[in-house]
Amino acid sequence: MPSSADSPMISVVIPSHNRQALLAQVLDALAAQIPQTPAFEVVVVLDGCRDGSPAMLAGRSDPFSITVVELPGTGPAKARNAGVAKATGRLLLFLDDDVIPTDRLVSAHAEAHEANPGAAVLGPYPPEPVASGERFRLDARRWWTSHFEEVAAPGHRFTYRDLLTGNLSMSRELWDEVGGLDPQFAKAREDWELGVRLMEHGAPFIYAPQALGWHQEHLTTTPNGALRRAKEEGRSDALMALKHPRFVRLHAAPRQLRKRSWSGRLRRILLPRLGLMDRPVMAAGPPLLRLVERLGLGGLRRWLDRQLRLYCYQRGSIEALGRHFATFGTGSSAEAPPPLLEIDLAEGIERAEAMLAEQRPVAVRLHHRGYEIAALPYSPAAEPWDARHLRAYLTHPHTLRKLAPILAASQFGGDPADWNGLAPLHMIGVTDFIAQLHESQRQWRRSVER
Amino acid sequence: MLLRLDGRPCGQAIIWYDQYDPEAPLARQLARAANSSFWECWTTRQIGMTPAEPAPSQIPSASVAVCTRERPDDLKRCLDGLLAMTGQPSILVVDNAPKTDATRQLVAQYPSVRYVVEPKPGLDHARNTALDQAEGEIIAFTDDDAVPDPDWFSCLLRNFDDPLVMAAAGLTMALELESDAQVAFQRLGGFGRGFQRVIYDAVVVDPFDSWKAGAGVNFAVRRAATDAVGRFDPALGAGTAAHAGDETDFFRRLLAAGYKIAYDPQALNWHRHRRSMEELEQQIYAYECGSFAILTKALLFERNPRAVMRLVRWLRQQIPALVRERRRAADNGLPFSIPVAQARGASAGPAGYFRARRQARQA
Repeated sequence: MPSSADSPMISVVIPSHNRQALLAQVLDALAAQIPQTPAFEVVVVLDGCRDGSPAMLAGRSDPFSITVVELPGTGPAKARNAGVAKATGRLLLFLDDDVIPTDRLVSAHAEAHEANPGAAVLGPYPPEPVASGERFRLDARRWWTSHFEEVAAPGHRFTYRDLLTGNLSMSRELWDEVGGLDPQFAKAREDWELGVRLMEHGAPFIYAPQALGWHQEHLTTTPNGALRRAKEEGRSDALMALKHPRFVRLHAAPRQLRKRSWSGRLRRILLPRLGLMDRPVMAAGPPLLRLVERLGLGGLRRWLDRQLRLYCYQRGSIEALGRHFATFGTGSSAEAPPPLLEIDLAEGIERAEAMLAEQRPVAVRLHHRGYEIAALPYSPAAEPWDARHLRAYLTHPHTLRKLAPILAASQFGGDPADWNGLAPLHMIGVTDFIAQLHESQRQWRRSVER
Repeated sequence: MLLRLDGRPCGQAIIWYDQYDPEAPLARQLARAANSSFWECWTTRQIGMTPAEPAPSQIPSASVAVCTRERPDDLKRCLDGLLAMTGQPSILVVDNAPKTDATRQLVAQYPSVRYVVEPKPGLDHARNTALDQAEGEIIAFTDDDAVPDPDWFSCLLRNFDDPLVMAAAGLTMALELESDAQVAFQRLGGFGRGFQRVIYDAVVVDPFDSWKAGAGVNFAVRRAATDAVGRFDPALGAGTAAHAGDETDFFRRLLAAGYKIAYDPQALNWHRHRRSMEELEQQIYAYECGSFAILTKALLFERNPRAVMRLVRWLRQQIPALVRERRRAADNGLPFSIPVAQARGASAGPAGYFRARRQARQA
């Protein structure tokens, strides 16, 4: 493989846990990258593998070197850290063992780094298109698909939540500066937590659409796994709030448990004492959901699914926070409100963009001669607002509804107040067909009455 | 009135001829009568953003099929429209159980159009024949009484980039609003399914509500869909004892199997609605009959318990509607009652489906 001195040497780090067949497919796909791909090595971290993965790896002959690290089963965060410790490349590319790369993935990551040195490059890994009518599959697929659609949308404002480790690359230097993954987030949210530190560090996030991998989600996520994960997420979100106090308010579980309703009270009393119930709940939940689904009770299934996830999430959170979970986050956090930039859109949209590009504010109030249009909100560990975010934010339905009368008055004449009364303006952004049907019927009725 | 921005259909305004004020600027009058989707497109455009359009990585091979029965005048207008489209697909006319030679003679005047006869009566027999005979990976269906917009076909095709999208449907507007029955049908909603592009799956819409995703007058399917969920059910659709429900049932099976259906209002065609009130009443009767034929099929032949819930929900809506009708005549200016026509259709549905199944087996 050609390797000149100035081309980046890439290390592909893949943690794996008992997925021999998928891991082999990932390596096959890496062996079939396009010829222009820069030289790379692969570091596979076998984390508690008892399915013959080491023998499979030993039997392979690939056009790249494979370094194998074996761990006793410590979770993906530690596994990735251990993989990086053995990596020699200047660029680290993290892939999950259920993400099968397309043939441009590695080169697309390399190109993105050439164009944006010092960035964290995010590649998409939407679910492999395999049809399933099961509600669980449909929901999981929807989450992944819409996540990558959002990140890909023009003018997307990146936050720490966009950082996922399934298909991610950054320079070794940046990794060392932020200190790698935090091993206390052993099984969930280790990616978001890294995202927080990358954002604080000021590393730009870059989305590389060509760096596409197909997530074999249909083979690796299960309803049982989703409940276990919900508990881990509850635990990790609590740890996140403990580590980064800015996230205390965002941690939902204590707020949910403080509710004054009877169900809130019941949960407050019962949940801390239910430790022994976790396993039975997690085991009985998925078959129960399947039964309800088969009976055709869609609404009940949705409710039950939500309750089960909530139970697991809150249990995880209580375990991490201990006895004072209910009062967590109620103390006076004397956080100063973020500075607010005021922008008058009457001065023109280009002027507003220039102000954003120049000042890079964390929060903005947009108004038109004093009439409030929108607030570009503060959110923790997110990119500061920039010119390229503005127009995309203005096309959100709630902002369009406020802008339309102003623009209509200047285009068609009259006063914004005349146009503000138009009923259709309040339906901007509605995609539901029945709502549109009723709107059309109202239109007919209005035209007949006039 | 259909409103377009930069050539893209984006909304509608409803203005009667006698309401038009020649003194006032037209744009202002239209804006005052426009609907929400127009305002969304227009404001987005004023901000300087272009709406996100699907940009396919490659256009699949495809053709158009027209299923027809004894309507040579309408078919002529349809074929003229198809031949005037940008990008010429191959066109197939399926003549369903013809009684006369008129259709054959008409198609003979169009050398580029292929003609096949499907002797078994029933729209889904014709659709299945079209699937067998038409070329390409995607087959677009239109009715003989519809006319496509120049970009209809290419706009339908652009939705098929995602391999899980097994069907795409488009917006259908009224070709003429001359008679009261045509206005009444358009007021009830017509064949349009809104002006917003939506990708339907079983999360967005209950498979039993698959009619929301599109109408038989304007849709395309991927040939591979028949491998996934089977062919059109020949016991459903116009020309059978079930009267309707053909594409609705097909869409329902696609959604229930986890596939997606794209509704893209840019894929526009125009339909000549039925001109008489009797035909309109028959149409409303037929839709309900078809939808109950599907419920019967789901309950008895697929053992799907959801069908029971659907039936309960239907009763909960229909009985109050019937009671309301008894108390005061509806203000829609129709010489017949919609809930009554629907109830008659619904009660004819199950028996109709059994009869249609028998006919389909014998044919």
